Amino acid sequence: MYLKLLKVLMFASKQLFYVFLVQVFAMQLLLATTSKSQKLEEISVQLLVENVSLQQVLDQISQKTDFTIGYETRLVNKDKKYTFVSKGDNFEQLLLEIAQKAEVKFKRINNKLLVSKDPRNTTEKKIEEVVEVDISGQITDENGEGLPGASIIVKGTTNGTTSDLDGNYQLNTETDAVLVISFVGYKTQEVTVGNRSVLDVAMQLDAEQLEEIVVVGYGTQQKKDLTGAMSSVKGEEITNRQTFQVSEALQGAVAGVTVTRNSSAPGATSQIRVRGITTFNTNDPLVVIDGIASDGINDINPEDIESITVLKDAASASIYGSRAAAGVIVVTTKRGPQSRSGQINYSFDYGFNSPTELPEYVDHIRYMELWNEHTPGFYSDDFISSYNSNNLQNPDQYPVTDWWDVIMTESSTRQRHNLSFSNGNENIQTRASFSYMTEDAIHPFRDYERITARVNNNIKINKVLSGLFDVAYKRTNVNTPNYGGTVSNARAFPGIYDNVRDDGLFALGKSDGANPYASLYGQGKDKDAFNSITARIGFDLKPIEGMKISAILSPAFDFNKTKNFQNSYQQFDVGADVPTSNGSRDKLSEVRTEQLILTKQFLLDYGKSFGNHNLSVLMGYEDRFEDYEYLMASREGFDLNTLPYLSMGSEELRDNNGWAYEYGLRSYLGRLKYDFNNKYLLQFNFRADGSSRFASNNRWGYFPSVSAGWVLSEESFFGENPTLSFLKLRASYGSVGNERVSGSNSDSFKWWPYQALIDFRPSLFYNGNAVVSQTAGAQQTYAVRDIVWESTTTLDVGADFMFFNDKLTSSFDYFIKNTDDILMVLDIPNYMGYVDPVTNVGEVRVKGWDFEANWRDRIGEVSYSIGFNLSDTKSKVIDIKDREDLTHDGGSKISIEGREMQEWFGFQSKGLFQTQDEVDNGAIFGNQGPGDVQYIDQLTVDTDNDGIPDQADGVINEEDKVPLGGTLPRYIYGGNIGAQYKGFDFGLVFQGVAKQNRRLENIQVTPFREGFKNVPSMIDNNYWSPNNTEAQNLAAQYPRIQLLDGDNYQVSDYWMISGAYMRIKNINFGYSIPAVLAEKLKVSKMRFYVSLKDFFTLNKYPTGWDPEVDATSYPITKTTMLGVNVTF
Amino acid sequence: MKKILITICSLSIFACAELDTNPTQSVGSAAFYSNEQELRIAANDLYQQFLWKTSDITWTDDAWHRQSGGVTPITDASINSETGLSSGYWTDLYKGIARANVILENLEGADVAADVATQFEAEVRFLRAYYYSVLVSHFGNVPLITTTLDLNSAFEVEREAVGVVKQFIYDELDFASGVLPVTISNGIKTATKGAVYGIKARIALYMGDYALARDAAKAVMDLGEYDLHEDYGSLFYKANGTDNEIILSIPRSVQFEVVDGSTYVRQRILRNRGGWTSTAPSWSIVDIHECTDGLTIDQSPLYDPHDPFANRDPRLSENVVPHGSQFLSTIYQPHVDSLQTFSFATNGRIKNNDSRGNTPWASWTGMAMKKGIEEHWIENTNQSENDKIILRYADILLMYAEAKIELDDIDNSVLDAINQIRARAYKVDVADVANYPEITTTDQAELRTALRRERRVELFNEGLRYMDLIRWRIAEKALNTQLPGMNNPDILDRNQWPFNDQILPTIDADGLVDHSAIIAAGYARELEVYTFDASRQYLWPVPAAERNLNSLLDQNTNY
Repeated sequence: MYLKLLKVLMFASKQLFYVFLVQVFAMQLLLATTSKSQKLEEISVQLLVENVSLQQVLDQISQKTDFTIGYETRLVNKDKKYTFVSKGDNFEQLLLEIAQKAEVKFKRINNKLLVSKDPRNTTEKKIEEVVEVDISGQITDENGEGLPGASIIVKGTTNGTTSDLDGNYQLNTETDAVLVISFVGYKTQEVTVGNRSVLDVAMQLDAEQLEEIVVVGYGTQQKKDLTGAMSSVKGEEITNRQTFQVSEALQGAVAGVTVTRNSSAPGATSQIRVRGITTFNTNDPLVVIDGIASDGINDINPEDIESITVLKDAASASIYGSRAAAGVIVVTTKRGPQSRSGQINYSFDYGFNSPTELPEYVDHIRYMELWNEHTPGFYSDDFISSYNSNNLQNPDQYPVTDWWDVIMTESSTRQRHNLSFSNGNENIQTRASFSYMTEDAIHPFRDYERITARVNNNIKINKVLSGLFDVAYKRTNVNTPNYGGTVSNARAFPGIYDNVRDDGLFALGKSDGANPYASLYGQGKDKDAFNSITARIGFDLKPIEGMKISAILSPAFDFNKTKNFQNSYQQFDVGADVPTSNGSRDKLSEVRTEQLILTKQFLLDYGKSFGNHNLSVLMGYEDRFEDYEYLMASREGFDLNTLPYLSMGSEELRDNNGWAYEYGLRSYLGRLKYDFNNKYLLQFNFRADGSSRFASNNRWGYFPSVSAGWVLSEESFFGENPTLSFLKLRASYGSVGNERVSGSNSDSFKWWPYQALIDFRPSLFYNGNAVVSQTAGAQQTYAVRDIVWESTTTLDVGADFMFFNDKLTSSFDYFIKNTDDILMVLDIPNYMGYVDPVTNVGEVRVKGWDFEANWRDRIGEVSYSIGFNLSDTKSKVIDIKDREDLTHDGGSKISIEGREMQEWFGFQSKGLFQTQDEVDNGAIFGNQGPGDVQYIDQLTVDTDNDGIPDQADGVINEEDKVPLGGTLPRYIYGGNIGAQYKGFDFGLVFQGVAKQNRRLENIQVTPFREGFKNVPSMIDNNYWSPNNTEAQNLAAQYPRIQLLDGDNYQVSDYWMISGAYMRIKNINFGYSIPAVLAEKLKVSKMRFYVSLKDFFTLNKYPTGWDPEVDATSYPITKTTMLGVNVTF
Repeated sequence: MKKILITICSLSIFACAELDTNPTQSVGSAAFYSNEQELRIAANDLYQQFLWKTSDITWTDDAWHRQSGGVTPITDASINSETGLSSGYWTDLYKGIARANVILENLEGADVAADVATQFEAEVRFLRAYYYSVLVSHFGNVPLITTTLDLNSAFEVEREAVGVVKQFIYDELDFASGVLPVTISNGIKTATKGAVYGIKARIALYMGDYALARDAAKAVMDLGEYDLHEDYGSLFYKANGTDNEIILSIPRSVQFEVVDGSTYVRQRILRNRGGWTSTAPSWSIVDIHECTDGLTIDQSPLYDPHDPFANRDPRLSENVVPHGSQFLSTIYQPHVDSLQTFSFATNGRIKNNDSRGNTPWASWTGMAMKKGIEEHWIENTNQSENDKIILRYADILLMYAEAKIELDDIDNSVLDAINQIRARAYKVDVADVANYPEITTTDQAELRTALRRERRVELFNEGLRYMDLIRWRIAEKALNTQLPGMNNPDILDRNQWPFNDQILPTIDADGLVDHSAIIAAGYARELEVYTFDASRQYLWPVPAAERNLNSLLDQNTNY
């Protein structure tokens, strides 16, 4: 399948390549000959023709002179005959005569005569003469080295080329032409050709990297003018991460952006947080793709991304108003070039994934020995010692199963194909791309496939009006086993249970029929498909200089289907001929959802300079409407489980369901930007949002912000400073909102949180002797009608620096974010009879800082760059009306006033009880004994009634739980190193967390979980046991082994470990073939690369556990990739 | 500018985004409760499963649940103000009360005929009184809320004395019984007069108001609508959901997805049929069934510890699966050496997973639940649709007898009430005294003992045992005990299977069984030690979260 697709793609690109070559060749034809220039009147030609056609006249001339003559055949009227006589004196005169009579005109280019129609036939005919020269030369960088890939274009034309790997170029052009030479990161130069035939150009580094254009909310700005806190990432940096999902590619890429993942399952996405968490509701940043808010950051092909800007402070984000409190990620996709010859790019890579680390469990013999630790004599010594030999005799009765081995494979594969075309001229610019990605899993029935296609067009209609039209399509196919416990049970199922009998039938597994292998293979698979089509159509009107009026309409359409088919299967006990019933029935349930989002924007942008005063204004209106519908249908009882269609199920056992929501948002926005002499910068932003989520009298929210910058390095007193070449101070203050309410009690709540709804579901009654279902309904939630937005005000102060002639750039920001009116569940007494309502009660403050630095230089022929970013945030709960929020993670995390948000909440511990004496004299939890974790009995009893507890109560209970420190990662860092030498390039990306309290989850450290599961190897020989010596017990890290006893596995600091880690995310090594070879292969560039993803990690985690994975998820995998990238 | 933009927007082919959207799949509460149909929908909601509380068998000496060491917050005395159990009851029942209050408040303004409104009022007031009866019997003093609270008034609420709450309940029930119909022959079966009287009898009994209990039970008997189903065992099957013995039940249905789910079912059904037998009948419930001579096993010559199911009250074989009998299409034989057994489902011998010789997880008491369990539980993918029986006629008879005994108003009607039930167990007429062990004593103490055993056997696994232990004040005895189970296979004495013939358990006047001597002698393994704190556990604690929010709420003693 994949090979076939590859062939098709290769074929298609070849064909296109040929077509393209033919076109290019045709264009070049006219310019093919050259000659010394000689004045026309000095050329003598003898011509004597009578009653011949124009074609014959021209043929004659061509024969008798050195001129090549070019004309269009339709120009030549064969019926018309001419007579010319020239005695060899003035050739120019002759041509003028022909021109006069035949209603044509001549243009001379070197040794060529171009004939074209000239119906005006004025009496004053002239022959246009142009001298074209062959120009060649070398483009060099600031160090005099050849600069490959620089663009050389004849100004005002589409004629141009790019420099080869050594920086050399060749071009044919008129002598008075002006060449425009440009290269990213360098100043664009214009050079007049004149009489030169060799034209070397030394490029100069763009003195200010800051002239880089950054995409901001509803527009772009020069980086040096920015007054808000924002960071941007180039598309190249995203693609270098080699990830399928853009979210993962952002990990460690931007200061202040925390990306966490917990699995490498095919298609897994990551969670993005911008500058910590500020609310108990959603902390997902708003994602804006090409100006339109979208949920689809993971729906974009990373190769399509031109840049990503993260708007971090209120000043830059407040233009997005009510949805910007958690930060805004602005994604811009690549567009066609303005003036470049077309390009086709194809890349392909193939990789192998394998788990970074896997936890180990004891084997079947050790399992039984350890079982006897809690139930002595359960397995007799005889039974254990003869088990292996019995296994050889009767493997069904005495099974030995390595569950991980029988279910999992060593590695999985992934591959990607990307194909893009781009071309453009002054009037139309197009880029089209297509990608296909697929990845399978280390166990059967799980894979992920994504197809994306995108076409972006810019169309200039005239000087005033232009338009754009973009379409993007995405389809994702996700297959998963219907059985959800594959990974966790393959890990932890003990070896003494059988997966498959000797005769190949599914064994019973555990005596109650639990058999993860049979469940995985027998239970069927779920098939989900997700589609989205988004489009953007827009018009730009530029009525006067500096003014732009845009209108954009963007529909986004999502339609998804999920198909969940649970099959029954048969298991056979030892020796049984008949299957054991596992009590399950085939069940198919299908879900279809459909969502249409329509966004409309009208923007007016005007900029003008008055001397040193530069002013620009943006005003806009935007609205958005979402319409979502959900449909579910299911049936049970399938006679044929090979046909997953509803019609095959039992008519009696069917079910269906449906619901919908609507959502509207209207907004007015504005920006005023002023600067004086690029030295003092000032900016105001404003947005007003009205959302259908709030009652009409509380509907509108207003989000203003102000920011200012002072470029100190522009001041005269600063002078020329070679060390510190640029310095800007920035400060901003403003407010943004959050209207995205989660913590939802019902789906309706999410969309109409201010309304109390009747929730309907059936009650059953007898009608006669039959059970009937009757509609029943009640208001379940107490609603507070006058709730409003959460608002977050941010103060940000920062500075941008450049050192050593701009080789080192750096910036630093410090911020305080304060979120008020947090919409959170207000505890009401349960005797009121309603589910707690949501109202504006909370306040959270986040303080933090971001730092980033980039170094770029060259040593000899090696150019290199180093980037580093580091940031920290700390969220503190200021006010939640004296309550404790224990809603996260099943009560293991607490938010209370005056402390960090979501701290661990549990017991403090002091090692293990060593003796019965210690147990008798200490406070215990439940039925603890020697070998159990000793919890600290906090002072909870107030004996002297002074309001301060001064005595412990002698038992360990809920009252002894205390906050145990933050759960969120601190000091997040990331960085990259890149180097290039001739055709070789090298890149390395790393990322890490310097401080985090992680809790070893019960599933990682508990022996015999659920009363039978396997024992983690790390516990073996490291637990407290009555059979140990005292010294061994003192050194034991794990408590005694008990069955089904949770006393030791309460949330406590006994299980806290450092979650710090440093990970090498990627190592890329590439080689581009030399220009000579590329030319032979008829490609402009070809690069081969090897990439290692997630290969190396430093951490203090227990062996077998990756620091990013959570205890039950699919493992984090490392990937080896080989790839090729060809540009035609 | 704004005006211009709006103009542009409205001129464009698409209008401005609508902000006044309304819930698409539901109705706002303000517009509801306005007509008969809506009131019916609201009243229907008061019959939701979660509002009908029956206590769990594992809180009692009747069964033991293996998981998590078998301890419940009640049987290890750990119940405290943060225990989910008590706050769950509290929260759910007050939800029912609030929903009932809303209906009652809207009745006047609703577009319904006066007589229909009165019917609704009676039905809803009955249901609300029922919720309060569960609250007051479990928590003692509770807030008495009869109107919808707003955010201000909610924090001024205090607990009302038991006396006030129970009087409120009695009054409400008296109103309802005056209005509700005796039967509903057409249409959906909602609450009836019999249910109101029965609930009144139950709460009056719980409150020690024996005369009220007697009268209410008598009122049910006098309705003449109810009688005893002929067969004790099949009464609890789905097919008999509308039998005349059932006075109030909450129907379940696989088709409508209202079921006892797979966990509940698998905890109870045999391992040979995909279950776990993790909730297993205790030795105590097996031992409390009399022999056919009407004597307890420690007295009767008919009792054989090696064949404990022989010569016993027939209800034993309906409550607990007899060893060697056919049940759920297999032969249930938990003997450790019975490594194979017969399956009628497959008509062949299968590995016997209900024997601890094969699997350590086979029932640790050696007993398996039978009452009400049907083959189709397995066919329905381990879902049970047997109705939740709240009240049945046998309970009425026993409540009547108990109230009269406690009033020392002992007459033939008391003996007749008990004997009807005993005769039904033997499937004979109450007059056919030769074929069942009739109760004849008129001694109050002896009758009390007989009645307590009778309730335990007859109402086994119907969610009533826990409140019996509480109101009889014998929980401190019944739940401070050692639970016996089968010895592990390696030390099990095969000659003493299933029970030993050396030491018999002792049975006291409250119908409690003591196995401590048997455990001490090594004939049984101690599965669990139950503990019960008599200083506080006769009432449940007011949830701590409520007291954090409203300091006016006081707490029950010793919590």
